[in-house]
Amino acid sequence: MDCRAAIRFIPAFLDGELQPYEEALLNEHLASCDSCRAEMVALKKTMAAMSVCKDLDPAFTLADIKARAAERQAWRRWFSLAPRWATALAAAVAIFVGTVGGIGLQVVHQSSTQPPAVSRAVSDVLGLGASDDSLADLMVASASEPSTTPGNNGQEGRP
Amino acid sequence: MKHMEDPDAQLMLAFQRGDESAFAALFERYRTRVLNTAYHFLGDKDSAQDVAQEVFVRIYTSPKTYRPDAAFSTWLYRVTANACFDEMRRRRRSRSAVSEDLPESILDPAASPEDQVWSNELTREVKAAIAALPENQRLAVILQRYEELSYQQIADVLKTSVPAVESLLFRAKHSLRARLSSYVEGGQ
Repeated sequence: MDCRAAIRFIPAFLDGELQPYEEALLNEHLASCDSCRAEMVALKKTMAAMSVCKDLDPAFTLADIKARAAERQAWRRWFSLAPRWATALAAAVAIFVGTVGGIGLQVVHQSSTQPPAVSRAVSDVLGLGASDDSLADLMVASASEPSTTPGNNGQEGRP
Repeated sequence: MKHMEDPDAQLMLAFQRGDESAFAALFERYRTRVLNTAYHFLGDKDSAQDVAQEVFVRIYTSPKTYRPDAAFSTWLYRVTANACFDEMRRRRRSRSAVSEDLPESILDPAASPEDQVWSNELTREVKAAIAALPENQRLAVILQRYEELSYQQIADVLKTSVPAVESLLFRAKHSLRARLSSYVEGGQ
């Protein structure tokens, strides 16, 4: 055995993991090699120095583990139900949007066909204020005026 | 089913069937070992306590993941290793710094102040040397040096071969020896 192989074998030798024939070869080499012997002693001291680190004592009990496990299982149950919750929520949102949207469209349609008094109320609701009454009147008036677009010959909307 | 004669495997199988006392027995038997594996790997007490709890919570909530084709302890160390790797990944993602614990050596409390200082310095240096190892080398050396697992058991935990474990330990121990040489060879 040469020094290169011996250095390779030393950690396993110290850990008692060499086969008997490998151990015999290493011992034979160590008997005649000061440098490999020194290497082995240094490694042995290094491994011994590692035991300077103190072990910890557990700061948790079985009750802590069971409490954490119960919390996790509760979350798992919630997530396993999530697809059903998500479907129900999506359906509720769709119904809400459909209802509110439908009412909104109806209000807009009615406001465009109301007399000026109603248009004032609409402009108030929209926050246009008193100074914009004329604008709201104008909008409603223009909606109730006869159309002058080609195709109806100016007759539509006349009293 | 080759580990049916392993009493810990029997306890784990009993727990799978709903026997809570079997889990309690395994918890009592292994909690210190799991904690200290995590502690030597992660280097700080708070993370180690948290990760050790996480290991037992995983086992408690998913007992069916154990199959008796491995010794219970091998499987438990694998769960511990995975929890430690997860914690390292979490740290890398959040780039969180590890709080450095005050070194606690096993020196006799009656030791002189000089010995205490030297011991604390050596403890700090040993922890830093272990922390500087790549994760697989670090785990292999911790399982061998502190948990006293055989090379075959370490190979089973890491799902690798015995020659691969020999190689990991060779590199790990030579890195430790190089880093600690000034303390070990010139020390007390």
